[in-house]
Amino acid sequence: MTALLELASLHVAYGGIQAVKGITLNVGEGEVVALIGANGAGKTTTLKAIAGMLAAPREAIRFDGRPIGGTAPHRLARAGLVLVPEGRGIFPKLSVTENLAMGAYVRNDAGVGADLARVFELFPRLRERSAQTGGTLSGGEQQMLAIGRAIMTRPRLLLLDEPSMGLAPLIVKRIFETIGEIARGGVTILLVEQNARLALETTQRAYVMESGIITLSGESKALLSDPKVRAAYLGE
Amino acid sequence: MPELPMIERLRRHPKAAWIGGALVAIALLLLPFALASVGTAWVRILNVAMLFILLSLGLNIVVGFAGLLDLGYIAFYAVGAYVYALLASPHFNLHLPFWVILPLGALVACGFGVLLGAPTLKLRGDYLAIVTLGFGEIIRIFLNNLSRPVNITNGPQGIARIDPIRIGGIDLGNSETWLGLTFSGPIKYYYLLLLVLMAVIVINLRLQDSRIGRAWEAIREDEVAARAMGINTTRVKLLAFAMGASFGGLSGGLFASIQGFVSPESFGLTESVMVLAMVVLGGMGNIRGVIVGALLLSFVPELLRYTVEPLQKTLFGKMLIEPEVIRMLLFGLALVLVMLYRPAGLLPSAVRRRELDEGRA
Repeated sequence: MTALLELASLHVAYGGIQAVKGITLNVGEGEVVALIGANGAGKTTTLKAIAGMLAAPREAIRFDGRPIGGTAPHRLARAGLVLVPEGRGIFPKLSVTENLAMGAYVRNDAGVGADLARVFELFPRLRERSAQTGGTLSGGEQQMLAIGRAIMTRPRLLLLDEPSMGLAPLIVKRIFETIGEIARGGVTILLVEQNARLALETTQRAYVMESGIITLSGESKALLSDPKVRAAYLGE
Repeated sequence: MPELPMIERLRRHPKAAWIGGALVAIALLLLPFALASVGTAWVRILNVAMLFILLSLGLNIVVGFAGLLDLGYIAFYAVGAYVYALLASPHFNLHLPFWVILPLGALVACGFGVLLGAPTLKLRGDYLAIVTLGFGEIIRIFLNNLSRPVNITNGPQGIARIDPIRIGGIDLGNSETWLGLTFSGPIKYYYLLLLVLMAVIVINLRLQDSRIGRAWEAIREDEVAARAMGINTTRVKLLAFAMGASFGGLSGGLFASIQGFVSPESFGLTESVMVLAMVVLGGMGNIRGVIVGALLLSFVPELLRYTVEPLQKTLFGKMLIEPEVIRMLLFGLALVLVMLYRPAGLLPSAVRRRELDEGRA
C-alpha cells in the first residue's frame, strides 16, 4: 500500500511551546487511521500543521510523495487535502445548501450536483434543513454540515478533528457510522479523537500520542485489547 | 404566497419588463431637462449624487461584499481626482485626453488599494477601521503638503482650470444646442455619468454572482473556513481592496473633470464617513440598496437647503437656525432611526437580513 500521507519526525511549535516533538506517522491510500490521546497531547497541532494552518518544515510532511510542510491551506485544499476543524467552522449566515456549495468552490467539474445529492444521502438531516442557515443548526447538524462540506471538495485525504466534541452519544454514533460509510466510498481519513473507544472501533490502524510524541501504534483492534491503552484511554 | 423579488416578477412577464424598462430609460434620458427647467443647479446636484452612487458601489465591494470596514475610502477618490487634475490642467501644462487619464486614475487608485490592503491583511473590524482611517488622512495630508520643495499638488490652494472631458469634437464643459434643445455642460456630463454608472452597476451585479463574489461572502463569514475550502484569502481580500479602489479612482477622475477644480479639502474624513453612511443606510451588500442610500443622502440635504430657509421665514419671519445645522441634525436623526428600525439598511441584502432576523430571534 502506498502512503498518501507521511510524517517524518515532524516538529511543530505552537505559541512558543514545542507541541509536537518529532512524530513519524503514515496513512495509506484508502486507509482510515486514528490519532488518539489525551487533551493537550498535540493531536490538533499535528492536524493543523498537516493542513497548512501552522508552520512546519517542508520535508517533514509528504502528501502523495510530495513535500508539503508549510504550504498554504488553500493550495492543499485544492490538492485534495481537507481539514474539518475542531469547532466545525461552518458559515453561520449561509444556508445549508450554500455552505455545501461553498465546499465545491475550487471545482468546476460537472459532478457537483451529484455530490450534493450524495451528501444529502449520507446526512438526510441536512436535506431537511437545507434552507436553514448554518448558525441555526444543532451542534450535531453543524458537524454533519462541516463533514458534508468537506466531502463537496472531493478530498483525497480527509482530516477530522474531534468530530464527537460536545455532541450527544446518539448523534456521535450516527456521525461515526457515516464516517465509516465515507471511508468505504474510497476517501482516506485521518481522525483525531479523544473518544478512544469510538475511534478505535471505527478505524483500521491507530497511533497513540502523549505529550507531543507517539507512544504506541498498531492495528486498532489490537490496541483495543492492549492493557496499557485500556488502562489509560478506555477507563478500565 | 411570499412576495417575489421584483426581478423575478418581471421575468414572468417579459412584456411588462420591456415596457417598464423602456419607460425607465426614457425617464432617465429626460430627467436632466426636467431638472434644468427648475434650475441648472439641480442637474449639478444630480451629477454629484451619481458620483456618490459610483463611490458607494465601490465601497460596497470592500465593506458590503468582503466585510472589510474601510474608513478612508475617500483617499482613492482623491487619488483619481489628482491624477486627472495633474495630467489635464495648466499646472504642469499637460493636457492628456480623458481616455488615457480616467483609466490611469483608476489604475493608480488600484495600486494604492493594494498598498493599503497588503499590510492590513491580518486585520479585521475595529483594527482595520483604524488603519484605513489613518490611510485616508495620510493621503489628504500628503496632498496638502506636497507643494514644497517641489510643487506637485499645489498644496491647500488645489489645482484649478482642469480640462473638461472632450469626446470627439464635443466639449462636455460647454453649452450647445442640438435639435432645438440646449445641452448645457452639466447635462452632457449627466449622460456620461449615466453611461459609466450603468457599466459599473452591471459589473457589480456580475461580481456579486461570480466565484469572486462567493469567495468574498465566505471570507466575510469565516476566514479560516474559507481557506479550508481552497479560497486564497490573501488574493481575494486584495482583490476587494483593488476593485473598490479602482471605482473610487474612476469617480475621482470624473469629479475633477466636472468640477474643474480639486483641493485636499474635498477629501476629508467627513466625506469617507458620508460614503460609508450611504452604504450602511441603503443596505450593505445590496446593490439596489446602496444606490437608494446614495441618492437619499445626496438629495435630501439639498432639498432641505431649499426648504428650510423659506419655511422659517414664513413661520417666524426670520432665520432662526442655519439650514446647515438643521441638515446635520436631521441627517443624524435619520441615521439613528434607520439603525434602530432597519439595522441592516433600507434594502438589506438577503444574507444581511438573515443576520438581522437571527439577532432578534
